[in-house]
Amino acid sequence: MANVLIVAEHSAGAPRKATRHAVAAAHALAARTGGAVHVAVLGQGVGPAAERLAALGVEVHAADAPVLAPYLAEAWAPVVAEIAQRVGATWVCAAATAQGKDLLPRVAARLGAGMATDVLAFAGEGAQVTLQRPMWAGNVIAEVEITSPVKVITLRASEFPDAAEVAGGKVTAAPVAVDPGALRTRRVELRVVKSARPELTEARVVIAGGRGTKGDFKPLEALADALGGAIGASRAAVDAGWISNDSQVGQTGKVVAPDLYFAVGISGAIQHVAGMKGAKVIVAINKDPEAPIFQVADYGLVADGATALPELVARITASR
Amino acid sequence: MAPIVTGLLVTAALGAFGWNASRRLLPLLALRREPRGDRLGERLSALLRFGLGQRRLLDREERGPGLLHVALFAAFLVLALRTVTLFGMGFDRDFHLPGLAPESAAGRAYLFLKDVMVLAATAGAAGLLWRRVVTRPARLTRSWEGVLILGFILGLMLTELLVDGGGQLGVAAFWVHLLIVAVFLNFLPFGKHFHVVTALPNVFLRSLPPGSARLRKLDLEAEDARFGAATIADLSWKEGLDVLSCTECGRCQTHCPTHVTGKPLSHKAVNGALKHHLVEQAPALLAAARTKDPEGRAKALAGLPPIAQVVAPDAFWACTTCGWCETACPVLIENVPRLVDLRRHQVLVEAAVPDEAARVFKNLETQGNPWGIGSNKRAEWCADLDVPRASETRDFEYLFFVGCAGSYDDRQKKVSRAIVKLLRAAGVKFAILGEEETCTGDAARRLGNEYLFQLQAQASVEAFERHGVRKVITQCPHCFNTIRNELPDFGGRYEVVHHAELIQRLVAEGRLRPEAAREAGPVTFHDPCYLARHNGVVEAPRAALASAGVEVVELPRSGRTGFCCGAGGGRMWLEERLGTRVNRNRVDEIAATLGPAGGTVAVGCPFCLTMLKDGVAETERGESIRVLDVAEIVAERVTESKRV
Repeated sequence: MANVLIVAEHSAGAPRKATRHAVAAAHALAARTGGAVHVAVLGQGVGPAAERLAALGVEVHAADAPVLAPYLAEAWAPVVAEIAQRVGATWVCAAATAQGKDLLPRVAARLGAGMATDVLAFAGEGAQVTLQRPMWAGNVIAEVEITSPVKVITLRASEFPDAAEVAGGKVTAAPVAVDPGALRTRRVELRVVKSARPELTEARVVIAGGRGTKGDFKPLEALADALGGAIGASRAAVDAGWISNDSQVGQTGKVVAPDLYFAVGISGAIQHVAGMKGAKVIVAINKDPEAPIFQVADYGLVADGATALPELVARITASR
Repeated sequence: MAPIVTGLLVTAALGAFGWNASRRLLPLLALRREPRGDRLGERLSALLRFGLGQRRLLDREERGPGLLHVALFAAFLVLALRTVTLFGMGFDRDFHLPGLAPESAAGRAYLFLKDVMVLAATAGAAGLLWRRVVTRPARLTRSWEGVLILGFILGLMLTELLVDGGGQLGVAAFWVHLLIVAVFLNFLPFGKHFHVVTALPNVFLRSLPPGSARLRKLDLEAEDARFGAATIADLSWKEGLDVLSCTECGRCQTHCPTHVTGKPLSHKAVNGALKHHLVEQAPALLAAARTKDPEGRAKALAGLPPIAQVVAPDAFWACTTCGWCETACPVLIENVPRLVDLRRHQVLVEAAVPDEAARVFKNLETQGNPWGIGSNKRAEWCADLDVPRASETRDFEYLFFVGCAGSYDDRQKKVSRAIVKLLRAAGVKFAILGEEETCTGDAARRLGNEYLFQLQAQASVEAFERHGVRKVITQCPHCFNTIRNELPDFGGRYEVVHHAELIQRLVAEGRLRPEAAREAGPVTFHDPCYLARHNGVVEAPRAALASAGVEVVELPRSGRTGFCCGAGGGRMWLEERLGTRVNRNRVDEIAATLGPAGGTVAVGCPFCLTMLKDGVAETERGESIRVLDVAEIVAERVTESKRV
């Protein structure tokens, strides 16, 4: 019997979607190894989240203690390891989220377990489970086997289906023996970047600004709001500290291929163009008529974005 | 004096030293084999020049402390005879070396020379002690070891003088002297002063030619192929000797672009870490060295930890392979090939590739250029210039290898066009490969993707051979280095010139006559690492500028001591997330050299052009500092009507 333990992520009393997908993966794994699926829920006031996870037909171990909130790998790892040992888990899994990637290596170290990250699918035969994971930025799929008795993996949630609700689940309390005074890490601050705009690499429309914006991204944001687009930037704008570096489009930043790309105040050096040349329609707005961006643009406007964009936004709004 | 006591002392000292030194050196036998018995003439000349001649210690930027070391070194050589004599006198009061009897002319001359050297060594040791204790330059790591050794040396010199005084004090000094020699000798294997033993062999066994301009070709097809360095056993025995020879003097980091800008790479720290690792893993390595059969060897080495635990990835990915460290090292330690081997293992075995690098690899594989722009667009830069293709004519002397930047980067295209103008003005018969050209793979190789590099190198050699190419012009020092130094390993041997060299030559031959005209402001020149340091081309770009009437105001760090722009070693393609920006550091220096009114910085490399241009723009100096290639400056002063 090879039991499977999933470490859950939850917020506001509900499990994260990625965790539900991980539970589905665990069911698939348990069906092959003949074990049961257990879920560990850690934090403070985890009752509602635990109940909702139990509805997925699994045994939920709720470790409820103030020391476990907020999430800290150092505090969580011993609790998860203890639950894993108690339920006799052969497989310890979590979704390959920022938290999963942070926590499970520590758990693996405590259990003396081998680990595979970013698992996409299970292969092999019967109880001989091998794991498929991406290499070479996804160009190659490697099939690996973990040979240690206990195996720890993170799962790429999008590769597994959502878990269905079935009966038979229950919640039990798990002990927490973590001394808050012994922790060497603490959470200083949680900064949540709230963005109503789409993800840069997935957006249909991208409005990108460069040095020519002189740091004023407000006109770009107005256009992004009008078109439901995302905000991008050249490296110059990021380096100047006008915008966070996860907005950087280019050879060493993000590569985007939207339907419509606005390059505002961007000269169009090749290091930037390499990141957006896949865009279907490129619109360049630049004061310098000699700027190389006009070589790659489908539509060009020789103007200052600070004056041209508000006009454009006004026209778009008026046309609706 | 006391044969028994002396005999015991000599036996114990030599025995213990032999044992401990062999415990340091024998593990090297388990490391990767690499023959170093060739080119004896060059090796002897290196030994004379860099070893006995102490050439690197006299480099201008470190001449003070260098001279102090030379004094110590010379004294050690001279006093070695005296030490033998003193030990001999322990057996027989009247002992002297043959031909050096104290009353003979030669003997008296030697004793005089010896006294001079004692004074020189005393001054040298005192000076170095002053540096360690009082002035404390940044490149030195403070350690008790250095002070202790200098104390030993001062003790030896003092007792040496007292021995000559005779009397009871002389006898006491004699024994203290012999004792210090014995302790000193036995201290060597345990610290950085082991270089006293290993430095000369290390210089003699150097890489020929230097390994960083011509990286080791991996045999990817071999049955027992090793893809870079997974553990310490994958380093070569010479790389092991390198780290044992490191004295932590820190010359390697003085102008190291990564160290200076706060990245977590310090070559002397890497050497130190590897040295400790070698010592720590000595039992396993000794066991492996003892077994002959491959299986036993593999078993002995199985427990070695990954070398990436000893040298952190952030450190080995930071290197720009600029080669400063290897130019500065007095004992010719090579760092770049070792760091590339660490990258190779990460890339080829672990698939632990930085995201940006993975993108570059894919683009090179599919389109033959790092940006992934269509390979069919490679010749668009010269669509209106009617440049002959090697596929269409055999009537060319030079192949103009345009390179990726010269073909695709709008800024560098202007340099390509300037070069075409110059070649035409001088009547040089040339052709380009056009769409048949592909990236040389320099960045892929230095980012650890040897497999991709070899594909690119083979493709280049095949294209060159197809069209009977013998001479190549490059505008990129990275293409220059790869074609010149690395393609020979793939069967391609060509005469390669950088455009600055060709301009110099054409002017000298009278084929190119630029009108001498000064630039509006001062002009300085930024040396590309792969031209100046890795290939010794320092004069040509300056001569080319001079021929156009442009006088170069030198940067403080120029030529051999040039400072990297930050883009070498594939770093052009990686985001610079740690420390401060290398290009800004350089641009600040350029701005200071040009003065408040600004001026022009001339370059000879597309990477340098991009990095400096960005640095100038980022520091809001776009209005005052221009970044121009040497070819552009000369071409402005040439009229096409001179076409032959």
